[in-house]
Order: sequence, then structure tokens, then C-alpha cells
Amino acid sequence: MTDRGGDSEDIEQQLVAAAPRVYGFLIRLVGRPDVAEDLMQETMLRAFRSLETYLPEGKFHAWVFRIATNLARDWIRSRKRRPVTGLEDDSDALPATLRGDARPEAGLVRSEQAQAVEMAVAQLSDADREVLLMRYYGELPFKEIARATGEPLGTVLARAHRALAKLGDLVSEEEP
Amino acid sequence: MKRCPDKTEWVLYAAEEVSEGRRGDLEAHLEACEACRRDVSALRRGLRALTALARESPVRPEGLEALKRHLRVAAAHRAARPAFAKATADRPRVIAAVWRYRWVAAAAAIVLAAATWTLWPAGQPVRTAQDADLSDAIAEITVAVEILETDQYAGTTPNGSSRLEKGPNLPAAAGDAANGLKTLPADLCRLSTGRPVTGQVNVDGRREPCDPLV
Repeated sequence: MTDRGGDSEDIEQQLVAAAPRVYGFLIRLVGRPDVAEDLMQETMLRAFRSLETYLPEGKFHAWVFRIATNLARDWIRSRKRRPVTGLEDDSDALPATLRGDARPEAGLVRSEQAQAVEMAVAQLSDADREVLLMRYYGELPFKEIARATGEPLGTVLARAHRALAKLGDLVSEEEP
Repeated sequence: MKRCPDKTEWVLYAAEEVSEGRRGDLEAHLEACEACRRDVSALRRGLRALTALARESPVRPEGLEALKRHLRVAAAHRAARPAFAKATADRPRVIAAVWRYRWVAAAAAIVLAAATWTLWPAGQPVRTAQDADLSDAIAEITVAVEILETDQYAGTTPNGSSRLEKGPNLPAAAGDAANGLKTLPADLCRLSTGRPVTGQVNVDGRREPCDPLV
């Protein structure tokens, strides 16, 4: 994805090209393929519509991930507010790799190590996971993540430290 | 050994987001601090572990098609609104231009209101020019209709001579013959709307304007 600009057709193409990465980000953030797909579509539409009136600060790329993050946050928040009925099957809330029904063609399963990392990432707190995924999928520097999430840089770095240390420990255990 | 830097700074260091100057200081500290070296090593392993995740996850073809369709619709909407967008963009400039004269406009409005209040005769209902024009027009039409109706009853000839006394259905007209006027009964003097009016008619058949009985 290039920095912002271009006509409608160009922007459409950029957004469609970015869809798999934004979807990969969202599916790991919300844990549900159906929700992730809806949120991805909404992200792209909002990005497209907002381009008429809003000149994003910084990169177009960062801006799209900022929209995706906000939408995912809203969804996670609304899900937490929803009362638990006891009748819901919450197995969909886990990433597909952890439910054992991942489609290999979906690129979610690559190796045992990848699966272990998926599991470790899924077990992080929502806030910690959000920082790591924004860093990896959005390729955003931590300062940009702080701006996008509206959190102080120190808070973002503390979350990143906690999450990366957990992942680092996991890898050291896996390595012979 | 100096005090250890904050752990958050090691995150920036591991992610290569520190300035060159600061990097030198941190590396100097690392050489002497085993605990910080372990910390940085774990962070680097964590960053490396992330790369095991697939960077892209294929979207279902139906989902991708739906996205393209939605974007096309949004693009069509966008293309249909350039005039609106331009008008919206111009609006602040128009408002700014008018806004400059806001005090002049307010003062003029106050002066006008005060002058109207002072000069308007006491007890006179306020009528706008438009109201007056409308009333005049209605009055003219009313008179014209009444004249036509009266002429029909009185049998006035086109050349203006009176046939009032010869009218076949003419009821006895009460009036002041001395001044050459006859007062018509109400049922003779109705407007086309059916509303009765009083009125007088000249002996030659010409009608004076009537006043409604209401």
C-alpha cells in the first residue's frame, strides 16, 4: 500500500489489495472469521468514504489500521457488555487454528511453531495483543501505535514489553 | 554501572526505533548488564516469533467480491456528488464574507424596526403591501361580479339604457327614488359565492359597490 493519494479507482485497488492483511489482523484481534470479515469490509468502506473529507495524518496504511483497530475495539467492548446467557457456544471466539478447524488454504496453519505463536498471541490480553498485532500487521512504529490508539507512548511500550517477553519465553521453550 | 534504563526503552531498542545517539548509550549499558541483555534477548525472540504468523490471511472469494461491490457503490455515490462537495467547500467562504457585515446588518434592522414603530399610526392594523394589493384585487373582482349580476337582473341593455322596471322577475325594489337610487333586496344582491350583500343601484341600472352583510 502506498502513501495516500490517487483517484477513486486507484484507492479501491489499494484497499482491495490490503484486504487480506487487514483481515489477518482483525481475525487475530477478534478471534472470529465472520466478525473479522465484516469488520474488514467496514474498515475499507470507512477508509474510502473518509478520503473525501479527511486528509489522514501520516501514512494511508497506518490510517487504515487505525480504523480497523477502532472498529475491533468497539466490537470487543460491545461483546464484553453483552450479558452471558449460558446458551452461547463461545468456541467461535477462538482463532480458527485453536479450534482445530483451520483451513490450510487460509494460511493460518504453517507449522507447529506458528501454531504455538498463534496460541500465545490468542492468550494475551486484548490490549497487549492489539499492540503486537498493530506492530506486526500494520508495520507501525510504537509512536504511531500510541497516536492511533490514543494511549500514552509509555503505556503502549509497557504492553509491548509484556507481550514480547511472553512470546520470547515461549520461543525459548520451543527451541531445542 | 549506571542505573538500568526503563524496560520500555529496551522495546524501542529491540525494535530499532531509538535514535543513533541513544543507541550508543544503551549498547554501552548492555555490555555491562547481564539482566538487561537477557531482557533484550527475550524481546528480540518475541519479535522474531511474530514473523511465524502469516502476514496475510486469504479472504473468502465471496467476501472479496462483496468488498469490491461495496467500494464500487461508494465510488458511484462519490462521483455523483461533486457539485454538492464544491458547494459545501465554498460555504465557509460565503459565510465569512457575510459575517464581516453582521454588525451593519444588525444596526440597520434595529433602525428600521424603530422607525416603523414610531411612524406607524396608533391603532392602525399593520398591513403589508402584499395584503393591501390582494384586498384591492378581491374588491375589484367582487364589484365586477356584482355589476354583472345586477345588470342581468335589471335587464340593462348593452347600450346602458335601463330596463329595470321591465324585468320579468323583478321584485318590488325599496329605495330612495328621490336621489335616483334604489336599494336592492338581499336576494337580488348576492355574490357569485352566494353570500348576500346590501347595495344600491342607480336608476339607469349601474350598481354602486355593495357592502357584504356579514
